Amino acid sequence: MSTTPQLANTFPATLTLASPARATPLDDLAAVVAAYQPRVYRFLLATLRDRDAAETLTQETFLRAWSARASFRSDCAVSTWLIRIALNLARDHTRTGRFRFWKHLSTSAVDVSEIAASLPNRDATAESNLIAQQQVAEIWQTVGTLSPRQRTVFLLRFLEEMEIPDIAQVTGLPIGTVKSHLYRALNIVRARHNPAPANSSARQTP
Amino acid sequence: MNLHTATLPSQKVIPAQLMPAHLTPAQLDALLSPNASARDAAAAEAHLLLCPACAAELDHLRDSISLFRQASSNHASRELNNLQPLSLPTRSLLFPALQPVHWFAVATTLLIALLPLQTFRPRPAQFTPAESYSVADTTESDAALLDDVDREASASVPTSLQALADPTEEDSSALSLQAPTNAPDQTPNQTPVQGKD
Repeated sequence: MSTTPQLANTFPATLTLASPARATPLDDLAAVVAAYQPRVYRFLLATLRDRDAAETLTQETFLRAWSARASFRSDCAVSTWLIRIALNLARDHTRTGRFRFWKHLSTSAVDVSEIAASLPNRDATAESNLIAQQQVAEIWQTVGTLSPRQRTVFLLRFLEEMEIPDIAQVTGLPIGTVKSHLYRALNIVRARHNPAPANSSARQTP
Repeated sequence: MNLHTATLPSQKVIPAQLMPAHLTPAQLDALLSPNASARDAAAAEAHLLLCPACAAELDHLRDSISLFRQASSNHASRELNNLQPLSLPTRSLLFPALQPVHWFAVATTLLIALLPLQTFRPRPAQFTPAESYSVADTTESDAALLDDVDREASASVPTSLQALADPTEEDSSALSLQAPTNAPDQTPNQTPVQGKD
């Protein structure tokens, strides 16, 4: 994945000079932004489905991370810590009625066709490419119907490819609860994307 | 295809009672996740050899989720490339900075809200010179009136040292006739006081 330096260039160099007494991996903010911005932005974009909100909250994530860098302990990865901050910001943002109101009127909402059209060029026929776009659109729409916790856990697991203990650390949920949300989300996804829907009644459910 | 029968690669049909249960969500997660443990994956893959339905379902889901991950990553990267350089925010998104027009709107709203309160607030009684003068005149006139009353009351009672009226003057007979009724206790040397108007 290519990193983009736009946001990294916006942070002034003076932020790297004022370092706390104990050195942390977050002291060089520009380097941290360049390394982790695509991941944070991707997660926020998939969660909020609004590019303006994702952009703003991405910037806010790194600003808060840098402000609270003294509290960062090395018991987790930097990416895990950043995703946790981003998730908390997204929760606070979506709780407000203002977000729900502007979500209906926003022109920066991500359309499912944009996601489906973002597939890499594959050496395949036009028909198979069309089928692939349809598969992506179905997953995108199904993820949108999940509950907020199920969606968060599903995205952290299959989009960010995080381990279950890391997801528990990010979300602040017990591991058993994380598994429960993940398995329910998987059941919903597999029920809607089963190539043989007639057989779904014979599937074992937890 | 019946889910409770399956064919091995050697085309041998397995009866339903010998078929293991289908993939659980935990096994499906272990197969879909790229970094699942080998033990969970091995147990699930053993089932896939016997259940083509689960194998087809797994292939379809694995392909869909992989495509979803690729498409989301590409879309996010493309959006980041299109972003304009942003300035560092000075305030939190949850507490956005107020622009001057916002301050003006807040001040105007407060002014409009407080104006009726100021208009209908009860005012204290104000001092007016005209009323004070009229009060003063009334007091003086009342005092003068009381003085007149006192003077008349005191004057109506004749004193013993008051000089006698001249009997030669006019209406002396009338006065002499009225004297017993006005002052019955008067001595013979006293003459009745001439009545006042």
